[in-house]
Amino acid sequence: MISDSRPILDILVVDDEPGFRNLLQWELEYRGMRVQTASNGVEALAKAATNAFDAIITDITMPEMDGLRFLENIKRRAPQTPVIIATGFGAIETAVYAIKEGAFDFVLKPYDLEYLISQVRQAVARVNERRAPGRTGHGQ
Amino acid sequence: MGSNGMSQRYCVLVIDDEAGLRDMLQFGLTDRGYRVVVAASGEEGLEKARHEKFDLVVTDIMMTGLDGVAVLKGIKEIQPQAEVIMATGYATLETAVESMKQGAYDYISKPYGLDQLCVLFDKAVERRHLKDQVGRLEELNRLKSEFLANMSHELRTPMNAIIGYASLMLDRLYGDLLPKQEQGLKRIETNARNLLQLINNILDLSKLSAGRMPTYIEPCDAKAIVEEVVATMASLAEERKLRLVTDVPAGITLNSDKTKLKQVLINLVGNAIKFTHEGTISIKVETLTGPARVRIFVQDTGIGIKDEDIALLFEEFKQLDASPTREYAGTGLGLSISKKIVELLGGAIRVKSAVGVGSTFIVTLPMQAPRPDDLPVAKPSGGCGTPLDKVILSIDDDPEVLSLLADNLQGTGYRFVGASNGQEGIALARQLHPHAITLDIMMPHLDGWSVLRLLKNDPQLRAIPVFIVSIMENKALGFSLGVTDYIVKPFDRQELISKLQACDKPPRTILVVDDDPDISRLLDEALHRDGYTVVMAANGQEAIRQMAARKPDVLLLDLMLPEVDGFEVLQHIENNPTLQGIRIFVMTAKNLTLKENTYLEQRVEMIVQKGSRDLTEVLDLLKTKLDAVKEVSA
Repeated sequence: MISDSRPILDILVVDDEPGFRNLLQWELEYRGMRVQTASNGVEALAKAATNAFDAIITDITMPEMDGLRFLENIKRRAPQTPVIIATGFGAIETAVYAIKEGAFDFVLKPYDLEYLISQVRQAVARVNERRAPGRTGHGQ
Repeated sequence: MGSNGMSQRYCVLVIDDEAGLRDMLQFGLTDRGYRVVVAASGEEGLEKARHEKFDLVVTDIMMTGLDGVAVLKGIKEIQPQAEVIMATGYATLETAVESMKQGAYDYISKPYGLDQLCVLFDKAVERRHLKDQVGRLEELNRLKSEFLANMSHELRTPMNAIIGYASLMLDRLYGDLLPKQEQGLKRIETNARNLLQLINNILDLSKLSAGRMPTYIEPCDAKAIVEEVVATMASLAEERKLRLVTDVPAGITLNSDKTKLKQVLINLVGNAIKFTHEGTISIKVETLTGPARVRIFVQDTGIGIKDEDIALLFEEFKQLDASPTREYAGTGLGLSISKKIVELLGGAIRVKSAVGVGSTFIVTLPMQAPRPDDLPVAKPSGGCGTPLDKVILSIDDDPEVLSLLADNLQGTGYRFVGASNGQEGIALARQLHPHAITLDIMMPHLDGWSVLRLLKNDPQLRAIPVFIVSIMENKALGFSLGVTDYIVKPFDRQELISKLQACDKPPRTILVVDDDPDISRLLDEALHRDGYTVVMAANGQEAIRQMAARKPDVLLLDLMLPEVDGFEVLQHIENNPTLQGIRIFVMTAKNLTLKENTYLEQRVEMIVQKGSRDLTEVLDLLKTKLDAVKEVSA
């Protein structure tokens, strides 16, 4: 099967519920992405510190560090990395706050998988657009 | 007045279909010092925005005609700098998310108080000012970087000619020299090199400060790097009658940028030599467990550094002795560059020193995680004899560089052919099928990267090794596009020739990837008989593992494989800069679609249809092709 010449995307999935995490990982990997997972914000920050992700999908309600604190932290350390919030907790204030803090999108669970994936691709395309032409490759 | 006393009257556009609310806002906001314009519908609001500039917009969402989200999009198109606040009596998650994604400043529910709105206004205006400032600074920074990049090229180009011709004359390529002439040329050469060093330092520092220094991280052997550093610095140490000793255990692999690490070590050793009058400079390497790290010590028996001076040591443009009569020359940039490079490579640098006893600089860097199946890489054996009239094609728009290259290749057995632009270069490549191509990047009309793409997309030219000869270094990009190696200007004659010779060795290792044991066995036997080292893999995953353990020269790849298929293996190679340059032959029994065929045409040297031929015929075809490859490089 040909997976067109788009580079393989590295995605971090953050959710405390293993079932959700595994399902999303499987769906993304099936579409040719490379996926790592974390079960809370602290773990996710640690993974983000040693890996460069093309996009991050995170839940909000999680132990240790919730998704909004994680968003604030990651935007300070890697402002370019798109973060998509996927949550069952759909308060309007939370959504407004998350996007103000730099989230690329706010998606309610249960979500439409195709929509979520199209948002991931859009987010990555936006980052690439902003970046100057010419990759600098490894290590930064 | 707004809560922090506005010195300027901000213009506010209020869009709402409710007359009472419009009047209230117009009255209340005017009273607080804003200039207010109202509109009763989305259409009217956009019309007003076309004719007048607004700092702030407050819009309702549920309106007949254009709704608030459409108004928001319209406003952002007409005046992107206006900050828009969405206000609605029917808040929904969908409109909230959509509004914020479209760039609204905030999303609030009705009813809201005037004070609450004015606080939002202040915040929005403040954010706008900050954004404008950031935009201006980014633009300035971009201009500065561009200026430096241009200067880099302009300053280094003439140095290239000065150093190049001086060393050719010193090599007696233009005839014999009188002793006085030789002395003069040596001075020109030394001083030109010093000046080049200074230019490089300043440019490095600006690039590091701007975060624009590209790195190429790969596994590198600590012992080999230290040996190269010692080879570079030995004569200088000898001149000063200093001993230069090393203590580096074999088998330590760093995960780092070889060139940059060498630059740091050369700098530290150079410094040690400069500040040591007698005794020993030693380089010691040890590994640390914990997180796996490598620690490199550069120790001297020099004058040492006072405690209070240590803090200043790594600062830019600070020399500890800044007096006009200072004893030690230099720009004071070396250590600050070294520190920034080490940090860029994920490490740290510190110093221990005692006045009159000596100093020790300690560099700590990430180590490559040891691989259990680490195979010792075979040394290329033989095949590097004298090349017989192999054509080297050089593509460069600078005639100085072309004639310099031509002179450098004199008497080496290579025949030089120059092309002054990309089109001419490609035409000559097709005609001459050269042994190797050297390529400049910055050329008018068709730049080096485009030429490279054309070369690598042409099945006839794909196999020719391409060397980038450039002032710029973008290794990751180059390797991912199939570059064999880099020669950075101003180049060194020995380096140029040894790099050209390195590609003379014929292919030796072949990785055969096929899930059919009969075919594998047959290929193994036949290729083994022809003197190749054959490695087998029965599926894609195994192939990827084998390539990581040892990069093969040639890959024979079946497309239909269990689990990870051939296309995915090709994709893996494409995404992995260290795997560039492998010659790829595809064998397949599959009927290829047009899309698949195009994909393969761009990436592999030959596609052999297995189904249509019997096995011995396939084997013959492969052997003919392999012989042809061998001939090109032999």
